[in-house]
Amino acid sequence: MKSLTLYKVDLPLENVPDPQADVWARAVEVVVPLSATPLEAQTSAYVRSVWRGRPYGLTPYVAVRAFHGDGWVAFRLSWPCPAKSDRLTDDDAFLDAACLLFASSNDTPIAMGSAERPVEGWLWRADWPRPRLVRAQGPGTSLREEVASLRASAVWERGHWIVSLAGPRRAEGFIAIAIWQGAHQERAGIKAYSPSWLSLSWEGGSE
Amino acid sequence: MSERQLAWVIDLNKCLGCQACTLACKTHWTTDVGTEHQWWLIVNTLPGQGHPRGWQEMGGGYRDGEPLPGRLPKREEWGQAWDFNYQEVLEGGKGQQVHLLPFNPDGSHPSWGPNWEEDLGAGEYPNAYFFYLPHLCHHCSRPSCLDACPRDAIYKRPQDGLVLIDEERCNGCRLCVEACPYKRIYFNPIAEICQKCIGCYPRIEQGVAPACVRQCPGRAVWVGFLDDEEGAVYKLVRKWQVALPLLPHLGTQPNVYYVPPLSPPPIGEDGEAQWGQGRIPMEYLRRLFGPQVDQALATLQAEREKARSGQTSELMRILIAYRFQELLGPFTVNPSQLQRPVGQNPTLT
Repeated sequence: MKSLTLYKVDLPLENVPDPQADVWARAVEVVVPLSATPLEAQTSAYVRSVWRGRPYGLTPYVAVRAFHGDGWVAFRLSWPCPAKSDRLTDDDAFLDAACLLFASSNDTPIAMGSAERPVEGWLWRADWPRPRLVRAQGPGTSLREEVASLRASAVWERGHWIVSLAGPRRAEGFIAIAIWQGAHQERAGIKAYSPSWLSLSWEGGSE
Repeated sequence: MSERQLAWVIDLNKCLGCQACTLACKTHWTTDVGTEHQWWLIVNTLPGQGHPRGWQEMGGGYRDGEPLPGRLPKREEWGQAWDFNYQEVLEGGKGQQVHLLPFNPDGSHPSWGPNWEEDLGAGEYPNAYFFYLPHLCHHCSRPSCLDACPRDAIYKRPQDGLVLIDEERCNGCRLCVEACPYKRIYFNPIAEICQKCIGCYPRIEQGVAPACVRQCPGRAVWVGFLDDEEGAVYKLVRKWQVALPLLPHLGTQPNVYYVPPLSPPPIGEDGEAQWGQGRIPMEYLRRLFGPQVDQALATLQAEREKARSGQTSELMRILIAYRFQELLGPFTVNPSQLQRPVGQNPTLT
């Protein structure tokens, strides 16, 4: 299992740096390979049938760095996205998005948890000013909530998204990541995801 | 599959194309921000491309039980919510120079919209032809939208078979729009949810017929349960088999049934009517209503002749609908007699 070290910095949450700030270079980057979500695991019978043979989950990897500070945690995700989609320009338009899912144990079902092992996550979307908190108890059950304590900053350049996500410190020890490329009509379960959990290691201790 | 199934029957020989049903629906359900472009029921002229433009070529439904791929209509294909230059024409002193024109929200002139092809139809004079097709959600017995939803946000009510979208669960992924072969589901870009005809279920639950049924001045629309053997819907669909589903080969088992249009005889080159033929090509009607349309039209023609000759025809009596209440099935409550919730739109239809 891959591990991600969250480096300790002495900053308040309000000063969490933008994703291109030099400070991020201090955090060691972990490259997480992504896969298309399995077709047989899709909760839509239409998707299971119609998307067979159609490419999706096209993001090959996401590079992750992380910091933690006094009561907060921040992640920087960057991934290749050749065609940016950040506005709902038409009824057939979908948006670039990323989800950071947290779990307390690595036997939590990675596809959005389960009734016994509910999960929470941070959902960033290219047109939202701030991420939303997501709660789920299995595939197709996620509920979104706007919370003031989450923040994000994002840039798209040279075919890549670089996004920083920050919020109150999490107690969970594992994360998983999903990426949607809107230009390829990726949405809902049609996405790229990290097939295994990434363990978190807190520099300076987890408390 | 539901325990009971509500169904609509629409007689295309009686539909006037007046859009009273369209407006009754509009004023009831789609006046909120984000729904301005939505017409949960719309009457289009056939033959034509309809609304959204070319919807019959957009896929969805089933073949041999397997879902068929669909595509999402673009806003331009739906047509946007127009505004008009009323101010300029009616109050700006330019009434003699400027025409009343529709405008898209961005100020451009629309290139499509609901009922865009009104009365165009097909054929050449003197054999031009058209008919109207009121089009709403078919509340299918095998709804492809329900199969497509990844979040179980679409459900079919057991008590009446209405297919509804739970707007709290829907997150606007639009797979249902793709999968619906009738393209009767809209995307609300403000709320980011999908929305469609709800079968006027709040009225149904109060014993009131859907607004489209009550408002039809042509008495062309019936509603009722398919298993009610005394009801007009049962008699038209099951007993007389003159009301047919639209595009039945798409496999969703729709529950809006249409009495297909009879048509006048074509005029030959000699200027004489060619009796025994219909002006609307049978191949076109078969494509819309399946091979049963031949028998349905033959039955209609025979029963019409029977009534003309002075005999009694149960079928003609049903289709004429001498009493308005016959259209309403069990939903005969007059909405004006109900207590309306405070603050609700006071339209009484």
